[in-house]
Amino acid sequence: MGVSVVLALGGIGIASFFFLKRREAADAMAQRFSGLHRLLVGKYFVDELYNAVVVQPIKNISTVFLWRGVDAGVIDGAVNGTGAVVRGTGSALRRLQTGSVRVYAASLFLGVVLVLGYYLSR
Amino acid sequence: MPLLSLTVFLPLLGAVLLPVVGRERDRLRQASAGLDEARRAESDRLVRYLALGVSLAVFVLTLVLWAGFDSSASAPEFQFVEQHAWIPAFGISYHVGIDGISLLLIVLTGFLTPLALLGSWGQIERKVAAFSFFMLALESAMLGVFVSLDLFLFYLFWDAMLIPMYFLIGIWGYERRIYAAVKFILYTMAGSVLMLVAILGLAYLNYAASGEWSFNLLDLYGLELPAQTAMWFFLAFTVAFAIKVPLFPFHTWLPDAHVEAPTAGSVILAGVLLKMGTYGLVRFSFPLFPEAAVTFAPYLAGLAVVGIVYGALVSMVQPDLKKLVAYSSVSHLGFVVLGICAMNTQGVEGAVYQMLNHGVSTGALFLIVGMLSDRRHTRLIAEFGGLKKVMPRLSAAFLLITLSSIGLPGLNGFIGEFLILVGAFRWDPRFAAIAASGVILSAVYMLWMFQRVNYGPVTNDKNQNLPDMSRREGWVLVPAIVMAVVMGVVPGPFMRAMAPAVDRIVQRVGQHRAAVVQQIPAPAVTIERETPRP
Repeated sequence: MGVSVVLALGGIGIASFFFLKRREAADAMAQRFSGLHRLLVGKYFVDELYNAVVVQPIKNISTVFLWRGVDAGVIDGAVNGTGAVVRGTGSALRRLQTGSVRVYAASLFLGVVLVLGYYLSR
Repeated sequence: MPLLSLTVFLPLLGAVLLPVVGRERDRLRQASAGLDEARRAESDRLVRYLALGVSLAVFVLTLVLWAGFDSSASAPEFQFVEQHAWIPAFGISYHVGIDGISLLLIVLTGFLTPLALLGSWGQIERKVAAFSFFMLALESAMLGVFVSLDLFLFYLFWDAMLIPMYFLIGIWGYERRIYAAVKFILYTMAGSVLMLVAILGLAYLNYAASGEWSFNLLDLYGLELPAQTAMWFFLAFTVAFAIKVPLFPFHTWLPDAHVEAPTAGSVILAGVLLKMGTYGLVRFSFPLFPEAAVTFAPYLAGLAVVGIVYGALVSMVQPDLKKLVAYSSVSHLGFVVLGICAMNTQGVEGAVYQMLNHGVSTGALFLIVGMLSDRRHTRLIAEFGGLKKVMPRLSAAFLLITLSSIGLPGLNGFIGEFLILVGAFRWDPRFAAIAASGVILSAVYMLWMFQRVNYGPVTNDKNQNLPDMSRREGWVLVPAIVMAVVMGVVPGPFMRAMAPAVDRIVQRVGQHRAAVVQQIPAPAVTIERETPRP
């Protein structure tokens, strides 16, 4: 316990020397150990580290991969793709309905030939 | 007195009355072409008050139902039951009744509809009578879904509800409203036809087994099905409900529909319609096909936890406020599905509670976003900033609702999420672990959004002179905030109401899982019993 009290009092003493008695000494120290000073002022740059390693990657992955890629691209693409396929099939099949009786008769004839041909050739 | 039918059909009755008022308007217009504008505004006002009055009366009726509801364990499972033969040749009847779960959901519906109507007064300027008509018709259909005990009747209400919603999005929505409305209706219909096939199959197999046609849910609960058939029926029902929930990866209709819908539409969509999916799982999918449910529960829960994390991450990076709230729903509803899949008391109670919470919190969030959008005609987060200085009261309301959506202790979301996580942990700790990360992520996306909208300097000059919360807006938001606090501090009455129903469902499904899953035993003091039951 004695040690910790001495340490605490020592710390208070150093702090009062630098911050209350001689501010310019603190500035001088900051200049002399400028690298250490920046590290301390930047709080060891833990926030910057987290931001670079955790926050930004999650944001970028969410935006580029999950939202634009998976959600809008793959999943919604599949949903809208289903609609597009149905529409495409519809507009392709629409061409069969020409209104021309001769075409209908010809396709009917062709159908009969195919069905009969299948059964006869078996 | 058929109280339940009265509650369900009162909105529709009110809806039918509205055009009569509207016709009065046309007569007035012909009589005095010069006074047209003033007359029209007056008639719109009348229609608005009438619709609000009807919806408030419905809310009172739902509270009367709650007051008359017996939630003791010995009470009958379904109460306020009405049954009338409808198409007797096929065993189809008008059969309605409520247990604790449906009770709470119809109270939620009754609570949210007036708020949505009142919240729309600042936005809906044209075709007010038609708008109010569709809102009230929608309320009838929603109430019908929650009270139906006949599968045919249920399906009828389930699909009927799509029609007013389609028009609400398609007529009063934003720029891409037609695309969103068509996508919404096709997507949901695709799911519900699967369910229709399963309903018909169930009724047929019941006929084959018993020689009598019946669509009565209570008869069908007892039907023994071959395992293979039950599996397919379970999937057909569950896909229909999963689309509605919406469970990942069936969710892409939701951001479009929510964003394009007018405020009132978004509130009802998020507040009530999504709950129909989870309600369907609890009422139909799980108890009708318990074995299949136990087999598939881990897969469903897997999709649910993917949805929790995925919805949260995608929500986080949305530039549009409405889209952010929409994706947050995917995340929140993932919690609900997880609780249901756990199929133990805590899980299901938490899930039902979370349905109510999400209705209140997300409904209020959409109302607030609507208020911002009414003022600025934009919903982009980047367009706002520093709103706390300009409108301190609206920001304060916004903050409370934001915190309730995150699930801060003391507010409603906490209790639901906590119970779900406890339930999920007892069932399979791995799911609980992943889901818990969603709790953190929800704080990330909500607080970050709140910060960008409300704090910092006012960067955009257009925001400099925005009016603060009006008295009308206060009437819209204060009830929701009060509800969020009450549900966070005294969950007892809600828990007591739902407890017998939840126990029955858990038991019904639980009989079939005994050998399938090794459960972690319940802790000696279980969480939900902290609120004493009579």
